Amino acid sequence: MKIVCQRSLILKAINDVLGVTNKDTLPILSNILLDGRASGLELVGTDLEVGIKTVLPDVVKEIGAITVSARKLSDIIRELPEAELQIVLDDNNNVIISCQNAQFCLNGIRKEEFPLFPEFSEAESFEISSEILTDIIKKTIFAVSKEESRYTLNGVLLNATAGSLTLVATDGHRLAVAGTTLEKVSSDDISIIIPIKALNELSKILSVEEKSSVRLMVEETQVIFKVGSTIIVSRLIEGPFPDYDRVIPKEVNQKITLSRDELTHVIRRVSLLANQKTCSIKFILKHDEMEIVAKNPEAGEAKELLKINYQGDFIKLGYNYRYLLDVLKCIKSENIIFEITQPLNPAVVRPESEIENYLYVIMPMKV
Amino acid sequence: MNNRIRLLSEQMANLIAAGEVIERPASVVKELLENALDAGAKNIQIKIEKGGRQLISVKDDGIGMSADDALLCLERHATSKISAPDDLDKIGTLGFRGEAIPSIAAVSRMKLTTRQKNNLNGTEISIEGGKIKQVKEAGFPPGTKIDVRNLFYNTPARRKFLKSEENELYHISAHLERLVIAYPEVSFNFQHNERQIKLYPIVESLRTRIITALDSNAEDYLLPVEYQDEYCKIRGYISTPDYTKNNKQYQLTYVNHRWVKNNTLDFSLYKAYGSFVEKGKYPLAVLFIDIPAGEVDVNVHPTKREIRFRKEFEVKKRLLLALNNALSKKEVIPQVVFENDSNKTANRQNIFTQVKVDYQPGHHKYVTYKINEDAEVFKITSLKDQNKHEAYRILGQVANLYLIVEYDNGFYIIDQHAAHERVQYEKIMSEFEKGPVESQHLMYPSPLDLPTSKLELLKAYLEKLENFGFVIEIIGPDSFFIKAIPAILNESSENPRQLVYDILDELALNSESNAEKKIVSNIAASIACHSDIKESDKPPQIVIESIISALFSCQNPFVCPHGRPTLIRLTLAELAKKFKRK
Ligand SMILES: Nc1ncnc2c1ncn2[C@@H]1O[C@H](COP(=O)(O)OP(=O)(O)OP(=O)(O)O)[C@@H](O)[C@H]1O
Ligand SMILES: [Mg+2]
Ligand SMILES: [Zn+2]
Repeated sequence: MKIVCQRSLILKAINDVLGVTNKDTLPILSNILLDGRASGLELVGTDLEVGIKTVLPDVVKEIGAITVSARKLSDIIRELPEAELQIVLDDNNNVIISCQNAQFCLNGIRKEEFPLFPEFSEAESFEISSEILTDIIKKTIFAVSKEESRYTLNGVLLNATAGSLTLVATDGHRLAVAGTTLEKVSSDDISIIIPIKALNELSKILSVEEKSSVRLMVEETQVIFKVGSTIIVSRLIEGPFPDYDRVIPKEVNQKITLSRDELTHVIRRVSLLANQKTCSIKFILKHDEMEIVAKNPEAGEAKELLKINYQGDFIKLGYNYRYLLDVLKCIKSENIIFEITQPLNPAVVRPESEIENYLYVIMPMKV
Repeated sequence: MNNRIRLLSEQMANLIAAGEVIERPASVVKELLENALDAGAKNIQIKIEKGGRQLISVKDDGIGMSADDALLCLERHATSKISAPDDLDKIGTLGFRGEAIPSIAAVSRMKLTTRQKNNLNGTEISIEGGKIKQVKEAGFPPGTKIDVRNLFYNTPARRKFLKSEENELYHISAHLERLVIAYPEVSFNFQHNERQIKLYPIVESLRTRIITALDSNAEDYLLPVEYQDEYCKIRGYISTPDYTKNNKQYQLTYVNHRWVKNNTLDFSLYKAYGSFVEKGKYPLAVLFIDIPAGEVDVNVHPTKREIRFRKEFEVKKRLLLALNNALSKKEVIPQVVFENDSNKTANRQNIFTQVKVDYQPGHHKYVTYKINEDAEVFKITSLKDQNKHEAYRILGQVANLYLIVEYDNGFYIIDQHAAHERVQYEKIMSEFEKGPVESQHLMYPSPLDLPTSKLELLKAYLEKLENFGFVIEIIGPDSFFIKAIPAILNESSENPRQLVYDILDELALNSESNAEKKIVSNIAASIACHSDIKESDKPPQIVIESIISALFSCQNPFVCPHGRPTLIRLTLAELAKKFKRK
């Protein structure tokens, strides 16, 4: 195998697959596969859950394949000067990297030890602009549960039906829903749960990619994303996702419009004195005003008044301020709408603008 | 011919707790096996087909029955095992109610074949749904065989409740295993769908039975338990504290050879191991208590599973003594033992190259820890707490796990993870004492799946649980949902359902007093467990200092919330001894 390539080009390709290489499980999985073929250099990484493959065309001078430590390879190439570099495999599975006057010799492990990249069919489900996909992933992914025992919540639900795509995530305390329209969908409805890891890697790759589109294919147990010359294959989480529509209140008593920035700042300030273990703050609603209060026997008490338009009863609500801030960070419109029914019922937070297609549900606290 | 079975009088029959004995194939297997064992069998063959739906057959080489007895045993309350009310107080057999055979016969197609040794001919009786269809003489080796076909064929409602073949088979195996352990002198041959599943040959000792039938990995970890006085005899085996299981299924207790569930016994085990076993881990234990039949009431539960001791305290006292004896053949307090090779001494940085920790009583498994070669020895700091503590010096960290502190005429080796847990735990406890408890409502209420025994307990503590943030809603008579959890749990990933189960488990152990404390301490322990210092972390010096100073001002600095030790101590006197200065 002999590869000749510009440093920055191969560095980007390595970084694309680096995220899934993993030293904690099988040692071979901390390696990256360099597969020089006539069609180009394939770089592959996998943790057996998620696999990433990317292709660099026109850099292979002699074909051949080997796996080497992904960390070491990326560390070395990152430190090299921006120039043309050469990667050669010798007969003893050593990988020799040379660039200008520098030379490195890395021990490799034969390609045969590396897991096979999963097979998949080319039947495409839909195509979506990478910008929009990045946006709706960002709007939902923070709500994914980190509790391993509820494994169906460790991913994002993706629903695609005629003309629309919806992502949903929840950890049982809050729920995030974001949608968009789709131009072209295959005839079948899609409903799958994608592990958070796959979406994180996808977002990372999309963030360095120029504006492009993502093609998505769904098979029985895996989902495939194609972005330019990079392919991500991820296992799906199997099992039922909770009925998310049911928890979105259909009838609300009160809709309160608030300035997103103002509310964010008030919560940030007041929460400085909140109990940092329970993270609770109180919203006290009175005629045309809302008082936001935090109390902590150890630190003291903070409150701040917001003028609002409210004609309902006096009511006290409790929330985890971190949940509120997470949501406010995701909302783009200038004003938000805060919808409530009863103190112990879920609250809905959504952007004011009607055309925006996302919302959040937050479960209250009894304080 | 020798007839033994009598019908119990009406009055006697009423004395005996009536009840549905046959719930599923496993109950049939259990009853038939008990009969075979009561009949003195040495070899027992069990054949099951389709998880017991199709066939349950038990064949023994015991004393057998006469033709008359074979007919009589089909009657309700016909038993050879007791006759006068007094006998109920000294039951020495597994069966005594005369209820099992007729109950099984009533809901199946049964064939009973039996022969007494000194009779030339055997008897074969066919019964359908409790009605005798045919009685004839038949050739048969001495002993008894009972075939039960089409269980619940005439009670479709119950047949519908049967679970999958595997599930029923699992329950059958569980019952079988319990009996097998108690009878090492009997061989059991277990077949399912014509395939041999297990063969338990006759073995010479209980120990061998435990290893071959229950857990072969336990071999090196079994401690014998022996105790005897005029009141009772206790024998069996328990595992050393470092050999534990994830569930209680490996804790088997028998009273007069009968497998029983009894809180007194459970509690004594829990108590004896105390802080040596982590929460959620259970040592293996097989214990037999032989006690005059008059001292136990076995007639509490229709399936004879539960018993009551007449003098509970007397039993508990003796059992604890027996267990403590077994566990503490050696010192139970953590101590440090240096490796024998003392050629390289003197160099202080070398002193910890091999530290062996031995806190397993009566057992020679040492845990060896190596020093992390590039672990720097921390700058020696001297801290003095104004009122409570004398000066201590933090000497360093070993293997990113342990802290070494000089203090109080010797030094301490501190498990930094356990110490941190203890500190967090006491912090959270005080948090609860301070103010109102907040709870976080759940989007999807979490259903609780509880056995009937725990339902009552839950109902009794509903309000107390709510005071600590668990809102539990009753949807139906035995359907409960967790609607909200203590808000303090937010940042931990603890599964709230498991937490409620754990709390109930503990409340069940000794429910009268201290309920609040138990609830809080379970919540606190589960949060503390998710604290930020993980094993093999190298926290900065300032964090180490704060952990140690916080630990030393804890109310109980010696164990973590799960009961593991946080520190072990090595005194100067001990050191002097090791270096042969004295
Ligand atoms: N395998 C057997 N060998 C010899 N005798 C048996 C056997 N099985 C049952 N018997 C006789 O039949 C009687 C009735 O058995 P059954 O199981 O119905 O009642 P039990 O064992 O006396 O009491 P329990 O209902 O508590 O089991 C027994 O008392 C015993 O005399
Ligand atoms: Mg019986
Ligand atoms: Zn612990």
